[in-house]
Amino acid sequence: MRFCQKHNLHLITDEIYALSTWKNPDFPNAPGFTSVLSIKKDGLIDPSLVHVLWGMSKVLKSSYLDLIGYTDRSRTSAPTVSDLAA
Amino acid sequence: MISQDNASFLRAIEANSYFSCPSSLSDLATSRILSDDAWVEPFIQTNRHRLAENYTLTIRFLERHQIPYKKGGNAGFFVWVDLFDPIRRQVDAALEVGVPSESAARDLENKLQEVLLKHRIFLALGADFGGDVPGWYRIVFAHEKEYLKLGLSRMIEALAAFRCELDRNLA
Repeated sequence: MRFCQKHNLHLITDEIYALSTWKNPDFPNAPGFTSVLSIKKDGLIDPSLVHVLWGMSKVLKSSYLDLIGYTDRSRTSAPTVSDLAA
Repeated sequence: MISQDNASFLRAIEANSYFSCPSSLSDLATSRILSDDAWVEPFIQTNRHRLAENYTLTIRFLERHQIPYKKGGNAGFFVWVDLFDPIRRQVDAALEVGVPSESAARDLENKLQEVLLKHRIFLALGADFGGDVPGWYRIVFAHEKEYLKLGLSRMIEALAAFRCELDRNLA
């Protein structure tokens, strides 16, 4: 995030498997998944440079719904689906 | 695309996505599903639990059959396996007949995939996903358990048949 901020780059993270993580019995102490959305960006990066990819294709098998646009402008309400793109 | 703090960017992609958007029914169904916490939460938990179970079933099967796989996964629904390893002797011998090269190894990889298809099993080729070592395939384990077990046993049968084919060709 600091690197992107320093060079004014957009940071796009692919979190398509975010809801498909599980416990590997052979690696019980493996680090879990952390979404970039859950990281406080104060002092790290301008939040408008951060974007996440997620879709229904992996967890709900809806192959044609690959990109979903969310917006949560108020930051207090639940995310609403503003836009879908196949 | 989730972009929480860039309204102008979202407005810009909205314009383009107009030409490739799904039906309003899919749109509505998706937003209804995601808004239904009482349904979504147990669904995701069950999904995670079953993925872990099927992953474990798959890797224990691979270990019993001494097929190397990429260890340490904890997301998604596939596992990378090296199907050349159990038939390494035959593979190396087949490659030594011609000029050993990346493309010769890739040809052999395609041949094994054909044998797998004859045994009614489809495994994604590593080469199709940027795999840099020939002989690696991708097993999707997100199936009903009986279906998965049947698929894995067919994979072993196909591998044995391919080994015999290579032996025959070299004889």
